[in-house]
Amino acid sequence: MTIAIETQGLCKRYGDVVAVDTVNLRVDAGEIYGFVGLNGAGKTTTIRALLGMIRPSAGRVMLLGEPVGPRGRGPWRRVGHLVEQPAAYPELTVRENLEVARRLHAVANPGATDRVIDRFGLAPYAGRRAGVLSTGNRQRLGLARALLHEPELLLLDEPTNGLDPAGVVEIRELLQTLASERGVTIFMSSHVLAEVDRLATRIGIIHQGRLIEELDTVDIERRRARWLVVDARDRPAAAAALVVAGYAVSGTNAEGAWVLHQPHAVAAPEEVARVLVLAGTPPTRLLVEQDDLEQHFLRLIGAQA
Amino acid sequence: MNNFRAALWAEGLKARRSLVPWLAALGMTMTPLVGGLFMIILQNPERAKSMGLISAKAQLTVGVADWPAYFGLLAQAMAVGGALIFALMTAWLFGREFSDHTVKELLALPTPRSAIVGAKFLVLALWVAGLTALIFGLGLVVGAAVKLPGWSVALGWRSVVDVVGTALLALALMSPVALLASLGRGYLAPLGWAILTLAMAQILVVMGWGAWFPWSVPALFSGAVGPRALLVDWYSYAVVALASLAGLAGTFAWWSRADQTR
Repeated sequence: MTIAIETQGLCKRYGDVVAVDTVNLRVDAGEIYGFVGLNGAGKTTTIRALLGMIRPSAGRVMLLGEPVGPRGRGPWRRVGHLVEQPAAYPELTVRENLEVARRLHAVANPGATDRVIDRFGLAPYAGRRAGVLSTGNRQRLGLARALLHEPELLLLDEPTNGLDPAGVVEIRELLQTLASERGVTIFMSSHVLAEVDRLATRIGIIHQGRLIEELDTVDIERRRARWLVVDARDRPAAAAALVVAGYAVSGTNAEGAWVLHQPHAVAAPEEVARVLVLAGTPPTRLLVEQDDLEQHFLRLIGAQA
Repeated sequence: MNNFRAALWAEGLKARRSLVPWLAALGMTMTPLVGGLFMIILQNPERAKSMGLISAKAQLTVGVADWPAYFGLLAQAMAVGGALIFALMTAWLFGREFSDHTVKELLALPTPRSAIVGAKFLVLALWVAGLTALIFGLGLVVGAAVKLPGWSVALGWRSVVDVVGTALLALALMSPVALLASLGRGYLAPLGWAILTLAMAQILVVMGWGAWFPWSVPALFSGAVGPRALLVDWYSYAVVALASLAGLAGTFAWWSRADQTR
């Protein structure tokens, strides 16, 4: 499989501050890679290093098989990007901003501008100066510019920032379509973990400049903790019955219901129900709960701290 | 070449759409108009006084109302006004990419960064050329309108050399301004530099070292202080060229290599 992004020992230091610390990334073509971390964890610095906007203190970056180097060297004809808040020339209209991008990206077809204006719903604003656009429409303009030249690789820093819920869904679907139908590789950073969870085929967690964990879809499922929540009208009697039946009651949740973490309890809640019914304390609630990415992330960050 | 043409088109569009180049040019076009007013005052001091205009300043600035004095005024204004107005344009061309946070859109492109920097310098040069032509042309119209005496074709050509030469020297000194706009990531550093060098230029001329200080040379060349032949030597042009080349090399190198974190 072709490698779209590869970093080896990527480091960036500002004096004594280590912004990115020995990050080794490998993103295969066609993947949607979610890059998550707290504010200041090193997400944007990593993306800037991938785009050649900052020079690594150590290590190297390869995009689409080409080295990213000094003097702006890189496969930029095949790469689209959106870094932090999208910026636009405020005195130019939306169309003129895109036209500037089209020419600087050496896209010969003038129709490319109209195509992205339509795709991102910018037609009503095409003649409006970019300086008066709402945050959401400025984000659309930034995404339109990133996709204007139909790149093979997209590097997006917080792509759904400022979008309304409908816009978030629209962009999510667009990115999924780009990846699945056109094989576009997407590397996106975000602190909206639910969004990354829905979209990414692989997730990298960066903390204090270090890539502390990478999860693919299988890993994400496997690493997610699951537990069974059991509640009954007579909670002490229910706990006693469960212990007699060989279950280890781990504790209670915020509502006071019992929590069982044993895999056989989680896998067969009907057996737990049978035990409780036979003991004369039938369950009022049986619920299998699962960590989401947010909880996994917070637990991981907490462990690191 | 196509890359450079694309960058030039983009820079040209930005300059045309912004108010800054137009307002800066408008400010500079005041020179021939104010010069014309001075000529009217000098021609009719009593009438000017009756209109509430003060003639002493005009007499101090220009002396007599004729074509040589008027062209001299234009060249001097180009030296002093150029240092500030050209610097304003340069600071805008380079500094606005940082103030508007648009620089990050110019770095990871098939169009090389050097083409973008080169296009910015070319737009600056074209703007200065257009402005110089406008000021000189407007000066001819104003001078003819107030019926200045002392015109000759030879004087006209000499004045072209004075005004255009002064503008070229002032333009050459804009590359350090571009470098400071890039290093300072905005407008304040380059404008501060323009004011500092203008003040230093005056001080060093008074101290007699002006011919060695690049930022004094445009004013010395313009004839603001005295006859050019006595004040400007080959080394004066050499220091201007050195400052210009250092600014150019620094600006290109900075855009190519420096970390861009905004």
